[in-house]
Amino acid sequence: MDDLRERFRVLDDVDVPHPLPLGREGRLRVPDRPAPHPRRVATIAVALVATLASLVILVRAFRAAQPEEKIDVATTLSVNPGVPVPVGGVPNALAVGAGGVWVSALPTADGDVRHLTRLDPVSGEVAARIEVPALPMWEVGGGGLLALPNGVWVTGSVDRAEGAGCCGDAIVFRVDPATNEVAEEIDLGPGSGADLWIDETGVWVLVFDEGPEPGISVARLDPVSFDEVARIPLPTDWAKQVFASDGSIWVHGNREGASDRVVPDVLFQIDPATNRYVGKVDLPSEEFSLAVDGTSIWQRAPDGVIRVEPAGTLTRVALDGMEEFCCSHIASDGAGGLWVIARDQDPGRFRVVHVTAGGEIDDSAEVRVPGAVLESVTIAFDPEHQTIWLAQYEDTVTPLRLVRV
Amino acid sequence: MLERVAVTAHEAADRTFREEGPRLWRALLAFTADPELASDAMAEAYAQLLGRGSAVEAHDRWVWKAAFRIAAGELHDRRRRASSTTGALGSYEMPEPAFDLIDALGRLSPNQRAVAVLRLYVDLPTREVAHILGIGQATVRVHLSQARRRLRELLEGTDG
Repeated sequence: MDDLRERFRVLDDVDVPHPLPLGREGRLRVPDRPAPHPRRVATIAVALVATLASLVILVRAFRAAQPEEKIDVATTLSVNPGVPVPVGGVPNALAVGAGGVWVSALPTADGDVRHLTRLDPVSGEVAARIEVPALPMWEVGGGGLLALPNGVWVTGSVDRAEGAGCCGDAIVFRVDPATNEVAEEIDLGPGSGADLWIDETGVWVLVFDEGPEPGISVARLDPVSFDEVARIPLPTDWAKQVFASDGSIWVHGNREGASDRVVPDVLFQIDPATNRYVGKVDLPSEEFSLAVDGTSIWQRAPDGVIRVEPAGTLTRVALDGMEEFCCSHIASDGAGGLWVIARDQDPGRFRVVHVTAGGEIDDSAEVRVPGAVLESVTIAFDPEHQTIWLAQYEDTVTPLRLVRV
Repeated sequence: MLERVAVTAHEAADRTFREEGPRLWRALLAFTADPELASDAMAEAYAQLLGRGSAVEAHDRWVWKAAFRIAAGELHDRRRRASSTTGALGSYEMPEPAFDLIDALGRLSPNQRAVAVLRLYVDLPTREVAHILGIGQATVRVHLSQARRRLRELLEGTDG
């Protein structure tokens, strides 16, 4: 038994009250449904009044859309947080491109319709809410969503028809940004789609297989016909990301034998010429956040970030003072460099750092984001509008407008 | 016949309550850091279980899922109301190591906290945890990994 499991045993020493009324024979009986608590009734009444009253204020606030509180401007970087945009559900993936900022938000209740929300990249307003068959599976760290000139691509899983057995089918689909409708839909069989990468060689989908031989594999689809042309199994039991770099397809995943743990310190290499797994490269960190743009690979580390060259060269960038912060996220800047954002222990305070492709920190600023009380789950960078989009754990995304002087 | 089915369903719920009740309540306490909320969520879950009668097949699975969903929903509402559970634990008597653990759990995100409790205390397999929380198994493992790391940092230096 590991030490943390042992620590949890102390809960057995906590006295348990009798939370349910028991019958005379020590049996469970149907409890009377409690009447609404007076405090709750009062709260609802007050909330209704407050909601009506605040509507006018809210409308005015959103119309004004003034940049909100800004603190501590660094020498060349200023960060202006915009108004948080409610998207409903739990935002779990972001992508910028195809004329919008695309947000996946997981429904908070069973049976809720799945939506992809399209935001205007300039105003931040909701441009469309698109009903989709599936959403990316990850709750933190993003993934499973790509916005490209030919459309917005999503992978996830769909429920199978009733009576068709357990679990779901992995799926890939494309949303046409011209119509905001699902245009293609490709079923990849039992399992879940975890991430995808698309280039001229194909549509590469990382799949958690749940068929007769469960495991992790990459499905390769023809980029024109979308027919599955190869399925490449990998020697790992967990993986997060698939991407191309330096002529190979790479999968970021668990080392072999990691058992129940997530220890993603391996890149698995696939040769697109042969559709075969050809080797692996050990990563310097176990952090599961990678930022890739087709030319560079960055990995988060406990004390900074590391640029990884598959050939073996590492560029380590220490982020001094970052240890006071936590929960950092990284995003490619589109030019080989990196944006890092980290939350302070003080809720709502973030540090934004830019690292050049060469590994130098050339900009840094701290910013207070209104309404950011818990954790951010992922970020995306919009180079055209110089904006970092921050998905909050609850139900909003917030634009951080960057001004570099 | 219908009456017999109802009795059987009630008996099954009763057995689940006697066998699982204390552990469920402690798990909810660790998740919510609020004895009253733990009791409310548990009571509501069992009330709904009894109300469904024979419509529920796997009583133990169902009641764990319902109780955690109910508790998570209430915690979510509290955050929206910007109210806090801080202090809710203070008046409840418990050994100090348990207090330290629950305090540390309170610094995790809700799903990290739930996954840690269900895996490390209740010892449920990843598949079951995913079912209870309504998230994927791969995500459970991410949460568990982050929770382990954070808990080790937070509990370092405390007794136990």
